[in-house]
Amino acid sequence: MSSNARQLLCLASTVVALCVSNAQAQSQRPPAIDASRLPAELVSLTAEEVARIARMAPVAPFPSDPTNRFADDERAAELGHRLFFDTRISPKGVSCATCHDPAKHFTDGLPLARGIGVTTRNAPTVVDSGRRRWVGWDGKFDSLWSQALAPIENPVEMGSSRERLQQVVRDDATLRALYEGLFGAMPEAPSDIATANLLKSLGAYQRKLVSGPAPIDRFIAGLRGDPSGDLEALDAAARRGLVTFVSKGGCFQCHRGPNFTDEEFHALGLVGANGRVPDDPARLAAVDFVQSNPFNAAGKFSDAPDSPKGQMVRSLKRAPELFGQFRTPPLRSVALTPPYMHDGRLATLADVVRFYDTLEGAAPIGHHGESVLVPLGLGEGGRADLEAFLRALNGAPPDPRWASKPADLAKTMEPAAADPRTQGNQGR
Amino acid sequence: MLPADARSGTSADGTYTVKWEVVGGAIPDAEPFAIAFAVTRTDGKPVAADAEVLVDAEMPHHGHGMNFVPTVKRRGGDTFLGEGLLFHMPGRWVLAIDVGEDGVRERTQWFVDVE
Repeated sequence: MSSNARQLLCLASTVVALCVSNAQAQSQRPPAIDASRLPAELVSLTAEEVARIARMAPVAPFPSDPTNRFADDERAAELGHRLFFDTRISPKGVSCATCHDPAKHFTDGLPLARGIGVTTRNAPTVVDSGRRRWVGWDGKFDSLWSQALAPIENPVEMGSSRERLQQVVRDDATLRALYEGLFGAMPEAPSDIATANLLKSLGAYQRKLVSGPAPIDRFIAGLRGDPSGDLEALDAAARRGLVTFVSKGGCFQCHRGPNFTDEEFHALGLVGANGRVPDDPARLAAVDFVQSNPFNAAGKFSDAPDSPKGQMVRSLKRAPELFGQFRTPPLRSVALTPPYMHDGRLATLADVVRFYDTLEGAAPIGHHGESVLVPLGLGEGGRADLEAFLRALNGAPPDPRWASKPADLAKTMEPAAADPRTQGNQGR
Repeated sequence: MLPADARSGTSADGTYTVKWEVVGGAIPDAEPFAIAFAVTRTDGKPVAADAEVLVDAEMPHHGHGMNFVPTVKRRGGDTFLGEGLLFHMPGRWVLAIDVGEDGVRERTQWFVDVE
């Protein structure tokens, strides 16, 4: 919308007093980009569009998690690391790493996650999950640690229980020593406190999985004239794709900032199994769940129930428009995590770009009718450029110390023997 | 005390003048923020101690609002603090401050354009 049109709309309203300028918001923005450094593909961008690029980097450190006072404790991360790969927690030999395989950027590469059976959602990566405001496609969890219990107890994922989780720790000298060194004596009987402590350890481990800089970071550093920058970090196709991303593509509207997500929820109108309309309540159901979860940020097991996150959980709005909304996925390293969408329905990144370009397979949106979703008409060349840009978001891999099974754990567990998918159990 | 250049508006039926500003000076990008605001009656009477004061915002062009219900605290006199707002998308938002006394609620609202 032009500036003039915006002013007219303001004047036309009987109740609106004024439009608020964005000028003051600029004070919190990252360093600006030097327009004189823009390569040829970017020179047509407006100042607003260039500012959108500036916001893509640098990436901030993980936000703290005051609800888990062990979130950044190295000992908790070590315990969580072992638990993450431990196949004994599940009676069927499934571990967290079954669906979050380090070799596949901590996904399983399948449309729908498969543990003991097949779930209804795609397994998202765990890398950089410490940045997420909400965890899970529908944001059913408000922290990494509160999420960790669900797959353990889901009958089609690990099919286990919090009691078995504790028993594994109780019976293993190494795990027990790690637990007791951090939390005190391991209770001999099942305990919700012990459950929370172990979940917080799993949360602490996942916060160790941090990706490194991507080509987009070097490119933007180059635009700022930073000596570490590299204007060639994006090739011409990726640079054209970047232009689409911040302008006519409209991608930036939800995939915002350095994490390429607004950390909130949107409905794309993806039809359900009925072939006509979305049928997954998604965020609408998740709000009820997260508010009633005893392990949520506002609950008695939280280390900061009155923290901003606790307040957020208490203030979540329950509204019909939430039906069918899923969390905006971050796009850093997105090319490493096919297939795509909440149910893995799109096999490749090219398929995703084609979807947004054509909106084929989307039902007319009712509850959350965002006019931003319109066919883009990029054509084959434009789609290839946008895909090239998305591939330039691949970050350096996480620290291998954390991104692999603990060395001594590998000696005692044979994943091939423990993996139910090699024993004909899949699809149960 | 709100600065003289705080955004200002008059409620739909002219009963209230409302001024507000973003705490911290800028609306953050898809992050929570708070507003400080003051409500005064145009007839010079004080706003009732039990007045119901609500803050909300929506994107009329998108057909959705915020994903959170802001909380409002009266800080004393006619000044209030609205916490827990979060504009998760760029575009045109409408910020509304409702004041209710004696069973009558009046709304004051503003366009807020977020980049």
